Amino acid sequence: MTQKIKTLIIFTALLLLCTIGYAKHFASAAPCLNSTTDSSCHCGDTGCDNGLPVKNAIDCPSGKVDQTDTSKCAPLGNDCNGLTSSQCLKNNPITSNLNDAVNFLSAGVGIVVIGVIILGGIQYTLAGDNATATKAARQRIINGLIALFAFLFTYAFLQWIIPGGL
Amino acid sequence: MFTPVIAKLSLLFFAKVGDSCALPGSGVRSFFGFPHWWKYLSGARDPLGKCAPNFQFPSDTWAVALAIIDILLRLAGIAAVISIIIAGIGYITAAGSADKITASRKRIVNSLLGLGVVLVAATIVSFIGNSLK
Repeated sequence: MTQKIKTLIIFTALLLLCTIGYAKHFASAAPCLNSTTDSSCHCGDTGCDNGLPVKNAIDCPSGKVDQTDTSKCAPLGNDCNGLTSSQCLKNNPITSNLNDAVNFLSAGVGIVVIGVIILGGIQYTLAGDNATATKAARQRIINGLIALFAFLFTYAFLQWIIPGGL
Repeated sequence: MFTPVIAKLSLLFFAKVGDSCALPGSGVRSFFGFPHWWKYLSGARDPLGKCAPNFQFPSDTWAVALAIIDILLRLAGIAAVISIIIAGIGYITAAGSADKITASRKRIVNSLLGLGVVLVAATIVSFIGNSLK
């Protein structure tokens, strides 16, 4: 029972991690499409409107020409209608809701951990001279501390693996 | 004699619904000195002119959770006091029995340990939470 819950939690955390990493990778790898609309784009960058001839839709692996920059193919695998891929990701309901969920949950980690440890403390206080009750209280406190350290390590790991940090 | 009634009636007619207002403080209508669950929420006038907690779903959840933590802290203090009193009574009525004396002493030590855990947790976790922001 406990083992199952542990596995489930670890699996969910890993899944969340992978999704965030994937989303951030896409956002950071967004190509510079047009120097007139994208202020972070300087001419001479790859993909800028540097006078290249207009692409033919048949030559493109995705079968489409980018709508903002006709010298480039539309990116393969997503139908963004000429938006840059970072904008496309921001409009994606899954990504935006996921970000909201991550922010909401990470704001609550400290509060939940402190609640668990205080419950453990109350359990300890009410244990009296009963050794098993003391043990249960200690186990609850230790579990709260494990949760806190797991979150800290996940946070540090995300800072390390995501370009630009969380 | 009628002044409070008139004040309430005027609130009913002239205060707009949704106006911000001050919720009652921590000492008002206290239950064993527990803080209120709306301690960290702002107030707004409800249709009856009363000041009600203005709870917005996702953003205010952790504010309520924080208030519940405050309630738990108070509960921990009360539990420790009651437990130590029980242990003291056990000590008095032990009448030389070594087992009872040991049990009472253990009870006192455990309640102090629990209180210490609660205090240390409150300090350390709030410190870590503040430094992460």
